[in-house]
Amino acid sequence: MAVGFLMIPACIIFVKLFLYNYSMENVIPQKGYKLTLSINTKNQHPESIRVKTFAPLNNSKQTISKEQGISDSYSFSLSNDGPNRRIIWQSNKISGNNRMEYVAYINSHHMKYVFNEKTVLNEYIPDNIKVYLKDSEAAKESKKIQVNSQAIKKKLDEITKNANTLYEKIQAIHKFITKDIRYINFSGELDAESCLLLMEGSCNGKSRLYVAMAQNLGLPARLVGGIILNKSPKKITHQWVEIYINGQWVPFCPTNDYFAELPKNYIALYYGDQVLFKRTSGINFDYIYSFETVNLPRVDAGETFKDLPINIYGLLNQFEKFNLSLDIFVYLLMLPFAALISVILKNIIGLETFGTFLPILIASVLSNTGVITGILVFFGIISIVYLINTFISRLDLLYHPRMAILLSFVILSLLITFSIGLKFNIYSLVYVVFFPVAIVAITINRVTILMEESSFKKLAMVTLNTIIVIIVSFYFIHSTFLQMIMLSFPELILALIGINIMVGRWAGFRLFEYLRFADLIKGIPGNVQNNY
Amino acid sequence: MITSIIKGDHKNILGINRRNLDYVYPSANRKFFKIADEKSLAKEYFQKAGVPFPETLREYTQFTDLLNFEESFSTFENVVIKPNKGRGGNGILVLDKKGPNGIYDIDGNLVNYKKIRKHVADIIMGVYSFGTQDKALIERRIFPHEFFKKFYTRGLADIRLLIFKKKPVMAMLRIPTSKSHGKANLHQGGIGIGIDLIEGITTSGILKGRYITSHPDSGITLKGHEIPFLHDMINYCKAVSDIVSLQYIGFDFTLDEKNGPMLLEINARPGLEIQKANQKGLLEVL
Repeated sequence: MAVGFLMIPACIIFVKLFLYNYSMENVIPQKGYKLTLSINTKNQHPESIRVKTFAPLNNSKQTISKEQGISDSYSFSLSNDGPNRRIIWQSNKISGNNRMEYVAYINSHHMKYVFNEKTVLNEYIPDNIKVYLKDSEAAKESKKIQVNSQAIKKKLDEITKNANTLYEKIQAIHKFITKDIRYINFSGELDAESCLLLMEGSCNGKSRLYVAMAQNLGLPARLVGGIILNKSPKKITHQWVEIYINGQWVPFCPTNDYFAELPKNYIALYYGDQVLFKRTSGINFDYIYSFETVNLPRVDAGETFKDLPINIYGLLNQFEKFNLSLDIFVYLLMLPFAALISVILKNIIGLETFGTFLPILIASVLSNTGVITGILVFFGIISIVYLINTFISRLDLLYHPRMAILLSFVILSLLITFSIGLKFNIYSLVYVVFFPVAIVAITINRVTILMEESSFKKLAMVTLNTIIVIIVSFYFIHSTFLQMIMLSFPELILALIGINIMVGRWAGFRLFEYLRFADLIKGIPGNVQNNY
Repeated sequence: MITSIIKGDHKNILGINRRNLDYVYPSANRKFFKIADEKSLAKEYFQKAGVPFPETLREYTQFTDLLNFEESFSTFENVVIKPNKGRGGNGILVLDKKGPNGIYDIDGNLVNYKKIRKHVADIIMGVYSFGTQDKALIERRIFPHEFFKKFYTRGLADIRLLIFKKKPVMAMLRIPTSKSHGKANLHQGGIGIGIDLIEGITTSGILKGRYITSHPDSGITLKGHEIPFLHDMINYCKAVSDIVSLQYIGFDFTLDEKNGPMLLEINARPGLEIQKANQKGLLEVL
C-alpha cells in the first residue's frame, strides 16, 4: 500500500516533467538578495524632515518583491517618478536620533545581450525613448554630460575613424574609456568633459563620457545608478551606462569592463543623472546598504504552470482574489511535510514531545517572531506554567479553573512582554501577541498533565525535545526550496502518506533506545554501584 | 553502539515501536484498555476471575454520598482512599488508626473528618483525573508482607509480572526507597529487581537506570531472595488473561501481611525497563 502511495505521485511528476512544461529549472528557487537600506538622522531642534531616495528598479534583469519601509518616526511612501521608483520618508516634528529602514527581496540574474558585427541598427525610436537622444531638451540642459562639447566630438571622431559598423564604433568607445582613461578611486563627481581632459575618472566620470559619446553617434543613451552587491555592508554606489539598440537597453560598464552584459550582482536603482539622496538640510544624515543571499521563488513559475493540468498555481490566483495571504496557503501545504519530520524525530530518533502536532504548529507561526524569540517565548510560557502550577496545585483547585488561571497568567505575561517590546522598540517582542492563543492553551494543557504524571527531569527532557523538533521543522517549513517543490508537485502529499505508512510499520529500535539499553546491548552490566 | 546500529544487533531487546506494533496493537480489542485506567472496572474482572484484590469497602460516587460523611466514615480505620481513575499514584491517602474526631495518617498526623471529606469531594470533582468526574474508592489497607520488609520497611513494594499469550515471560520486584516517598514506581526513584522465573529468586537490581547490588537505605543485598507465592500469582495472571482479551499484559501484585498476593492493577502498555532489571531482552522469551 505504501508503495502505491509513493507510485501515484511519482507517475504524476513523471508526466508533468516529460509531457508538460514542468522543468526543474522553473521549479527550484533561485538565489536572490535581501537588500536593506538603513538610514539614520540626527537633529537637535524639533523639525519635520523629508528624505528622498530611489527603490531598486523592476526590469527584465531584476524583480523586486516583498518590499517594505519600517520606521517609528517616519512615514514611508513609494511612487513612480518617470522610469524610476521614488521612496519618500516624511516625519512630523522630531528631534534626536531617528532611524528608517527599507527592505526588498530581489530576484536578479546575469544578462548578456546579442550585439556583434552583424547587428544592423533599426532606426525606429519610440517617443518615450527620444528624451535620451542628443537633441532632446534634457540632453541640452545637462551640465555634467556635455553632449555638444567640441573636445568630446573631436575625440570621438579620432577613436572611431577606422570603425565601420555600429558594433566597431561602440567597441572603440568602450576600449578608449575602459583602457585609455585611467581609473581613479575618487568619491566626488566628475563631468564628461573633465574626465576626457584629465584622462582619468571614477565610475561616474567614465560613464558620463560614455553617454556623451554614444549620444553623439545618434543613439539614445543614459546613465544608470545602482549598487554592486559584493560586500556587505557598503555605502559606495555605482554608475554604468545603457545604450538603446534595436528596441532594448543594452548595458555597458566601463569601470569593470562589461560589454553588452551585466553580472547578477549589479542592482539598478535609477535611470538618468540623478542624486541618490535628497533630504532636508541641516541635519546629520547617514546611510548604509546591506544585503544577504536568500532563496527566492521563481517569479515566473506561477505564470508558466497555471494553465497546465494538475496544478495549484491557478488556485493561488483565486486565493489572492479573496485577499488572503499566500503564506497561509504555503504553510498549509507544508504542514504534512513538517508532520512527517516530527514523526521521524519521534518514532525513529525517539524524541518525545508535547503531542504530535504542537511542535510543528509552533514552528509554522514563528515567522513573525523569528525562531530564537519564538523559542524563548515558548520556553517562557512553559516556565510560567511550571511555576504557577507548582504554586496553585497546593490550593487543590479543580482542573478547569486551574487551567483558566494558568491561561490568565500566561496572557498577562505576554502582555507585559508586549509592552516592554513597545516601550523599547523591540519588534520581535511586540510580535509575541501574535503567538496563537490556541497553541498557548494546548501547551498549558500538555505541561500540566506531564507535571502530574512524571518527574521534573522528564518535563525538562520533553521540553528540550519539543524545542529541537520546533527548530528542525521550522527550517523545513520555511525552506523556499521545499515550498516551491510542494507548490509545483502538491501530489507529493500522497507520497508523504506513503512514507508515514512505512514509518508506522517500522518496528525497529528508536535511536535513543540504543542509548537507553546500551549496557544490555554490550552484554555487561555497566556502572555497578556497590558503595552503599 | 554505532556498530550495533549498523549490524542491527539488539541482543533481543524489545523497543517501543515493536512493542506497540507486534504486542500491544494486535490484541485489537481496545475496550479492554479501559480496564487499565479504571480501578473499579478492573476489580469486576478480577472478581470474575477469582483473583484476590484489595477489597473496596465503599465507593463515594456523588456529592449526596457526602451527607452525614462523618457518620458513614466513622466505621473505617486502616483504609486507603483512591481516585478511581487516578494516574501516577496521585490522590492516594493512606489512613492508619482512628483518633479523636479523625484518623491518623501513616506519618502519625491526625487528619480530621472535615479534611477527609474534602479529599473525597476533590476526587469526585475530578481534581486527580484531569477534570472528568470520578469516584473515590475506600479500600482496605494492605500491610506489607514480611518478604517486602526485608528490603525496606516503608511504603508498599510490588511485583510486576509480564504475561504474553497467558504465559509469564518476565518479572520484576519493585521496592520503594527513601527518595521515592513510599512509591515503588521506577521513574519516581524505586528499585527494580529482576526475577528468575524458573528458580523464583531475585537477580540483579537497577535504580534510575543504573545497576546496583544493594538497597541504598537498608543495605540489604538484592540478589538471591526467593519470591513467595510466585506460582499462585502466575495462576492468577492466567485466570485474568482468560477473560480479558489482551495478549500482552503487565500485572502488578502486592503481598499482604496476612492474605498474601493481591492484584493491584493491570497495564496494557507495560514498560520496557523490566529488561534492564533482568539484564535480558524480551524477544528472547516472547
